[in-house]
Amino acid sequence: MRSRLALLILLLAPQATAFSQNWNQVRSSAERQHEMVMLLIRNGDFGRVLEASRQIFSLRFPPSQEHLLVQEGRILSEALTHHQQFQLAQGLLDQALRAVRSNPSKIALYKEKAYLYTKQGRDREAMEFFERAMELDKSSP
Amino acid sequence: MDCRACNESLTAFVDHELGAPEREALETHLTQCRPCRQEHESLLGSSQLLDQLSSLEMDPSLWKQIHSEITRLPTDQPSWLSPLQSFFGFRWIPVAAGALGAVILSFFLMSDPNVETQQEFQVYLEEREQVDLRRTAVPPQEGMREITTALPNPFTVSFDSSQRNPFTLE
Repeated sequence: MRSRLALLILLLAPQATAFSQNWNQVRSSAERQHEMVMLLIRNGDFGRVLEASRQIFSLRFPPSQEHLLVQEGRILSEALTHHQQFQLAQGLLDQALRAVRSNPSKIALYKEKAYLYTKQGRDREAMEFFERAMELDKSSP
Repeated sequence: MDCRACNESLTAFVDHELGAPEREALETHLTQCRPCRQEHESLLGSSQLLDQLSSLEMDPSLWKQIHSEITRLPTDQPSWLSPLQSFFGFRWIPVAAGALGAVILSFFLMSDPNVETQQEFQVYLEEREQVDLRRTAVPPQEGMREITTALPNPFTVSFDSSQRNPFTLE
């Protein structure tokens, strides 16, 4: 009985912890993890970048701070693009897109993906994502 | 000479195209053969009739009359293009074609949403190129390994002077 209870507590503990995270804890974790991701990129350890960045985008950001996730997506994407890691940069922007909820954040990230595709010379895909951003912009109240 | 050879040479005989030996042989046959002689007389009569026909001479003024009739026909019929033709002369065709082309092109340019989106995309790309994400360059300090990159950490809280260390000397 006690062991089952302990297991239940163990399973629910991360959820409870996540709910109890205040903004400072979230920001501090994101700040630390950002430095980790940048270090991986600078060292050329690209295989671990998405795994590390996922820990940032899985943090529970309050809606008022969602713009920081957009900014983080753009900065990390820029750093990866600097190392010609276009696929990783696109994957990272996809992580950011899954993390944000507001339309302005999604629009900004769609445009960033379009910009990145332009950098790759893939104009057709770039136009598709820009059109998606424009459609979302028009449908937004 | 037999009748078959006589019939074959009879036209040439009437036209005086036979040589002397053939002509004498044919004349001998005609004196002896009544059907061939009748054929010869019939052919000779037709030839004489043709010689009596005079060639027809066309009146030179006839073609002039026909030509004037042809050229006068279109000018007699008024057309809805007549005002244009009188204003522009024969240049109205390229002018009209150019104007029509301009109208069609402007219609497509104004109504095609893709063109508008592409223009907006170009504007965005120009603006995005000007955005400098490297705003907080951190110079490496002597004796310390640089772990902070030139790109900013968006989660770093900016330095608040109100929370500075009160024991720090000015």
